[in-house]
Amino acid sequence: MRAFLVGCLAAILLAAVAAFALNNGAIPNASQNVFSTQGVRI
Amino acid sequence: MASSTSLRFFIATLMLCFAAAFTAPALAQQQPTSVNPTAQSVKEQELLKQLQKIQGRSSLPDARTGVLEQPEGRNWRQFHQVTLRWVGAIAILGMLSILVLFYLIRGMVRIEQGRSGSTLVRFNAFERFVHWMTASCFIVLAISGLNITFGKELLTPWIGPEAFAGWAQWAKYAHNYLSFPFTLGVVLMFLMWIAWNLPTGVDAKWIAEGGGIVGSKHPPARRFNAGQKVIYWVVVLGGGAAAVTGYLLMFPFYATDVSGMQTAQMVHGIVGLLFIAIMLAHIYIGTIGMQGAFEAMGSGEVDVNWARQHHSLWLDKQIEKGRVTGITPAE
Repeated sequence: MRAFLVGCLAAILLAAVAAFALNNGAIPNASQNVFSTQGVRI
Repeated sequence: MASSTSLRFFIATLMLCFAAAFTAPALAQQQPTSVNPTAQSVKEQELLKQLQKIQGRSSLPDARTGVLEQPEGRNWRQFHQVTLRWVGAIAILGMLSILVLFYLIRGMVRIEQGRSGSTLVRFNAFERFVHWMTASCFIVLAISGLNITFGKELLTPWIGPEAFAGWAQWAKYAHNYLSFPFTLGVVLMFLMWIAWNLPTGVDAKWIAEGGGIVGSKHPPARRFNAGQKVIYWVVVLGGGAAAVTGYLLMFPFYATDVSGMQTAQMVHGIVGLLFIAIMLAHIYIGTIGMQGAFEAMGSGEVDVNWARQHHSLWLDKQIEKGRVTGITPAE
């Protein structure tokens, strides 16, 4: 069952990398609410 | 004479007063007492009928907030609040019922000759790694996806709105971010196994004989039988469709507008729910449905008698190549 554990670990690692990248502006507005006004400077 | 004239004058005056009293309201209705400057302007309903959408300009920085009415949204709401739930409930509960019934009638498909003691490699370490990475993502994606469609109605009465909101938020994060390793897994599976998953004449015979699941025959099969090929294409095409439509939703307005995203959500929902229903059958046959099947993805090795029963043509090839311990290839 080593493949199972390594598979799960890889999935968590890749998801964490994706989360870090997206939350640091890799793709602007990713996963945000469509009509969000977050980030608007007045 | 004078009195008769004044009586006629009195009656005439009275009749005139009655006539004026009765006609006044009608006249008042016909002639407006106040002016309505927008009476002749275009009504909202007429606009909607002609343009299918009402939009203008908004002072918010995002110009898309100018969309005021978009009737397609009502169809979409009806779909994801009613139709999708019915499709999902019928597909998943229907599949579970079929599997329970099948197990009660057919039971576990056993290795008829018993275990031989000799084994051969069915899936190497990399194949198993890719399978389990994709499978573990799929399980979380399935649960968090079901939560989006059914969670509010099923969980809120039990755990309350606050706990549900917290759980749903984390489920959504998991759904978004685990989609990346899942998509990678689907792409790797496509590339790894495409060579063995193209339909051949052997598949037609396998299907005609019930695949050894229905009935007692065990028709010959190569590395993957027709049933496994169906699962492969469901994963590749269903996973691909789920990934594409999911990313359209995750990255709004990059590739499509609101209308396109509504369509993407409909496809994503239907594909996801059918995917879950079909994967239940895959999980069943890989665990309690067939003796010796789980080992293929567990240790990676299967018993020779299992391979002879379910994949005889593949076993012959493996023996020919000298890959089966304890069995030497025929000269």
